[in-house]
Amino acid sequence: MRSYVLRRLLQVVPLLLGISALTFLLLQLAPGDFLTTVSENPQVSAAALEQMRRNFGLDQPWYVQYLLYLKNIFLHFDFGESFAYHRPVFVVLRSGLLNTLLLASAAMVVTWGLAIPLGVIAAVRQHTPVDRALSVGAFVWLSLPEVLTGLLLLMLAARTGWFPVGGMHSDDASSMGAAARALDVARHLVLPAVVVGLIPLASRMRQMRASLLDVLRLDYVTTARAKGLSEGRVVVGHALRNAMNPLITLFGFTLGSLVSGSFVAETIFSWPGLGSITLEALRSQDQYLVLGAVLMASFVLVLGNLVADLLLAVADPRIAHG
Amino acid sequence: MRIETKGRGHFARALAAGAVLALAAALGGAGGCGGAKPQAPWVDHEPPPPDPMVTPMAEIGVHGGRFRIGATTGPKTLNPVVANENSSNDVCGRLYTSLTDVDYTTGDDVALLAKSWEFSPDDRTVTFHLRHGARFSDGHLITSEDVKFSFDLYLDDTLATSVATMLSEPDPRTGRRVKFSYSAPDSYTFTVTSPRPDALMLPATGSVRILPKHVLGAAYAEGRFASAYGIDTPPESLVTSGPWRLKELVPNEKVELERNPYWFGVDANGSRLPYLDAIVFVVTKDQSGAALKFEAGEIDALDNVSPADYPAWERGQKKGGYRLYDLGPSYNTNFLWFNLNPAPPGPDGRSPGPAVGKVKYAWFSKADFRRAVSKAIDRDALIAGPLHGFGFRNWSTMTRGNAKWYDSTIAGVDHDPEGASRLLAGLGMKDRDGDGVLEDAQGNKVEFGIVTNADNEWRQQMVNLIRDDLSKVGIRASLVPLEFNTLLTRVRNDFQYDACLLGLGSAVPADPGMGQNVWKSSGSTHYWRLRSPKPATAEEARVDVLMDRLVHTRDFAARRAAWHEIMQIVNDQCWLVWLPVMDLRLPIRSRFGNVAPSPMPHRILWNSDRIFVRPGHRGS
Amino acid sequence: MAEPAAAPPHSPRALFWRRFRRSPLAVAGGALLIVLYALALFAPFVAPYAENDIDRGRFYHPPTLLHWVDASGRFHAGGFVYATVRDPGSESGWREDRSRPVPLRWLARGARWKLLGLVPSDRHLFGVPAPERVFVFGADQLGRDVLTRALFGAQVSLTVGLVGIALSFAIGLLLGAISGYVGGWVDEGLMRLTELLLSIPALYLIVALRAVFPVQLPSRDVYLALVVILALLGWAGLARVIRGMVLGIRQHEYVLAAEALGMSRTRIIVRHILPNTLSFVVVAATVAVPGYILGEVVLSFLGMGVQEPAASWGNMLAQARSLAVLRSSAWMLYVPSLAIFATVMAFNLFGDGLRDALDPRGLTGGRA
Repeated sequence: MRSYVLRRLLQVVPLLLGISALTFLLLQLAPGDFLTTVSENPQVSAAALEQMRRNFGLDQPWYVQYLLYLKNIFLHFDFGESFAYHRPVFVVLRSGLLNTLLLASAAMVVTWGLAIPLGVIAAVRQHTPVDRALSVGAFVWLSLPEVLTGLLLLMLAARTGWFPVGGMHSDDASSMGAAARALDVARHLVLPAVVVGLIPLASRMRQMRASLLDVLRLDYVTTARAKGLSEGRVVVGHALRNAMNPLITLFGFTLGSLVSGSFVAETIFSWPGLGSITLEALRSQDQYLVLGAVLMASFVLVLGNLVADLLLAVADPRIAHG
Repeated sequence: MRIETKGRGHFARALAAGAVLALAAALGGAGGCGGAKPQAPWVDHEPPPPDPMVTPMAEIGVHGGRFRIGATTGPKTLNPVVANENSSNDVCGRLYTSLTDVDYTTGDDVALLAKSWEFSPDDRTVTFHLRHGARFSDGHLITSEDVKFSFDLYLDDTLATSVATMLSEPDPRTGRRVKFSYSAPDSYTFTVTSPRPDALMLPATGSVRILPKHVLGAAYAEGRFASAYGIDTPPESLVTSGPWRLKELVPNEKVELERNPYWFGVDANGSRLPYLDAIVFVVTKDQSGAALKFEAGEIDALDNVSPADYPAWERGQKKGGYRLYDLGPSYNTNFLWFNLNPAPPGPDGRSPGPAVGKVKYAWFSKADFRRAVSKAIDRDALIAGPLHGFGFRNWSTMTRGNAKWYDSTIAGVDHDPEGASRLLAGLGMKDRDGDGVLEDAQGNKVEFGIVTNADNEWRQQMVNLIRDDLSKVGIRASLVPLEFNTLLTRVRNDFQYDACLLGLGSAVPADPGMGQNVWKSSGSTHYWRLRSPKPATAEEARVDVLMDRLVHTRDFAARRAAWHEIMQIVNDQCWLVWLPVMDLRLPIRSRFGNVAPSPMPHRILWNSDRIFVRPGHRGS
Repeated sequence: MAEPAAAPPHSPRALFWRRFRRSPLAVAGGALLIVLYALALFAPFVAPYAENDIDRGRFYHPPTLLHWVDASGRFHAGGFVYATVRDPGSESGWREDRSRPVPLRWLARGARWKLLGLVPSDRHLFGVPAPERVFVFGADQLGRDVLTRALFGAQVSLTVGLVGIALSFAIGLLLGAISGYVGGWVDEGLMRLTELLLSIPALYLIVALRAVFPVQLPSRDVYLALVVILALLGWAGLARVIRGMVLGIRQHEYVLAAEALGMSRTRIIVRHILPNTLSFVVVAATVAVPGYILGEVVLSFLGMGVQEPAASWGNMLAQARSLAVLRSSAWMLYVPSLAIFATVMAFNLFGDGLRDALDPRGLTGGRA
């Protein structure tokens, strides 16, 4: 078991290396560089641009830049500086990552908080109108473009005043106590979490349903019923716990994909997450910032997968030794 | 098989979910006006400034209140020397002072840190007399040492700032840039000398933001200056010289500025400014999100409003408690030009010819062709369509809203489709095969592409209409939207495009001299023939001479005459095909006084030290 | 279609149809898809105008309502619309001129077009004589008929999915099968590559790839570039699943027999292995198409989708996101939204029904 964990952890490093190489390559292939937009200012002289190019190391050939980048990572654990912010990459990204993780977690709570009970209902009421209605209902949310749902909910917030219109804190949040501040964030979190969380609901609900149906067919369930236990106890007490096993791996995958997938909601609701910083960095070709952001997001994704696989290995030891 | 509705655990889960939702709704309902605690009346804890600057304003205000404004992105740095984008400059403009400022109504220079100045008889040296007793936000005195230090920073070659261009002159003999020289003879005197008289001397020196030597000197000496005053600098360490200092910066969310207790500006009664307790920049990435926030009362002003929304904003003024200010024509211009650049030199160091190819160059290089295109464009439709009727014809970078420089006698080549067809026929262009598209004398179809930036919805609409206009005179143009960075690379480096539609923003001050790089043939934004080693035509040579005169004399009448002639030549040659400019309107809450938005940036906060909350409107 | 009263049909195909027909929603989804694709194919015919038909006098014109009986009581068999005049006082800026009914012409003559680029025609399903206009769903910011734009947009949005999955599935199937069957270094290498592609968040990869693509492309070619990009991302997931399936199939007796007979590897992969993955692939494909359609919407949201003057549902939606539109020209927002919603919903329901019919026990993996 331990060797399996170790093996998986070690695999992460070459993976991240490969990701950084691919991203760097793509950045180089795109025309222009960070200074292209800077040069648009009529006041900036050619000499100034040249100097800036030297400062940022952009006058070096791309392989030299990449090797220097790697050297800095492995020797000094320095992931480079953002050209626009003039600060180390992780200083810039830190808050964005935490905010996105918060949103992703809240979205997951929404997803699973609904998928589990609704999946159970769909399973026990298999093939009835209730089952079909739940399916269709979840599909509806999946089929509406996020752009539209986000905008409509934002308008709802503006018109009714029930929820704040975007953002993560109220503008006077710093004068609140810790508890009030947490509640403030929670209020801001509701709408974006709903928009993001309801999207994967359809497939998660289906998976819950399928998994529970599989378990309900098993022998020990029939035994439990024969023993005279109520259906509720059979389903929730015995079957559900086992039905959740295959789904545990999905927690990891969901979190990982939500990290970058919440970008549209983050923009519409002005949620200060990783997505917008990264996209802006991509557009302005702020290369070390992009690399840092992609590595960070990929790391979370990979970590999510790893945790999921580990949980699966714990539940099903054959995998670790197979 | 009968199945019970809910099992125990199931019910508990549902209950929990319901509780969470109920809690969320309760929190939502309990929202509203965030924590309005009654503010204690303002008391000035510091002794009054010994050499105060009496700031002109429309009405005397009262202290207190907050002003929240939307920003598309957060600032990337609070270091004014290395800041390169609007989001950072908007905030830095509030935090730091400079020697002089520009009056937003007259365009003249006004005193700021320098309470007076005089020019030497040869007009090359200006001597500033600094205010005594002005202090930084930590109480430290501001002296000429700090001014000199700030100049050192801006003119440092390794930091490569854009202000350095304004503070230097190309030497006519060697072509290399010679920096202005400067010195601090005593603690409250500062002199700057330029090689030749410079009309923009004061705007140039006024661009240098005064930074504290006692805080940043060490970082500069050690080469760490570029990363100083970044987004993670603790507010107590961020010492500023302007009316505001940093209270809190939450990355990508908000920047809160609070009153600088040592600011030397006062109102006519001698009360220290600024009136407001705080300014908050609220990051709202999305324009529709920002508008909704404004409607909901979460922010107090909006910028970059689309003309499509003006009628709705107009109607909602009373109910929404705001006023829609009409600023008149924007200073941001739009124009179209043709690529006359030579292709980049090959391995032998020589250019193989015009970048667009000989065929297209033969059309574009003829003034009549460019005039025909300008005549073909229906500017009324451009105003009615993309601008929804809220636009003005414009023939110069100094638009009608610019009181100091606007010249109504400058003529442009306006809509005249018959005239366009005549000019094109005169160039030998006829539709010989009857397909609706002209062919030139050699039989090539007259068609070309117009590039513009893909993310600007508005410019694309304009190109779409222009295409339609051109097809009516037989020219087949196509719209080529490009990503902005790609567009700039094309336009500035490899010249792989035919025609381009872009615009210029407003400089501060809005003086034609600030656009030297556009009009001079050697300029780096002389788009149609970037960085020419020598002027390509007699007209370009004449413009070079006039531009030189415009920049190097301080006689306003002579400058205006030079500008007039420059624009006449430019418009006659149609190097730029002018397009209409937008009528600017901004909604700002009525409860604020001394609000005087201007087309020059920062449109709303340029006089942030004078804005106040009218009594009786405190709270929400 | 009566079913035989005696023994139920045994052939897999008949079983499949029976199961499929059991779900009316899936059948409805399938039918809707057929209608949508037909509309897209015949878009130039159904649409009364050409794709980029600008009308300078009618920016943001509201929908022209269809009537049958006019103000004077006359009945028009083919329906009619009223001519409109500007009315600054009204909410939309226009009002109907009841004195001027304009009868609808069916199979009217209009802009020229070519079916599949080959067969020319100038007939349209309906239209009104110029200078009047019929705007079933109103006009956009350049006076172009929203219905027309939506129909031409359907051509883009509906084919993005098909072409995209064709490409990505072709690549994914082939590489997955090869990887699973051949094993060894090839397998290791390919799996590392897929892991790499799957570990980078999709959005960033799309944006980065988009910036790389050559630039001076006409609008429709940008769409092709988009499809290629989306496909280059999509193959990785499928390849991994196919590989897993192939690893299992490889052990089956008929494969071992074929190997023993000396059949070439390629033939084994193509003739024996791939057909057994078919049911899974069909379902996965149907379920993946919505992802492409919605992906195009997100790219247009970012300003990197299909560009003007070409129409796509994504760029119609992106342009309609202003408050002005929501307040007074909401049709510009709802038409593309409804179109996207209907298509994605149809694919989802159809795919769901397919899955239940082909593979009711969820044996070949259920992760969407």
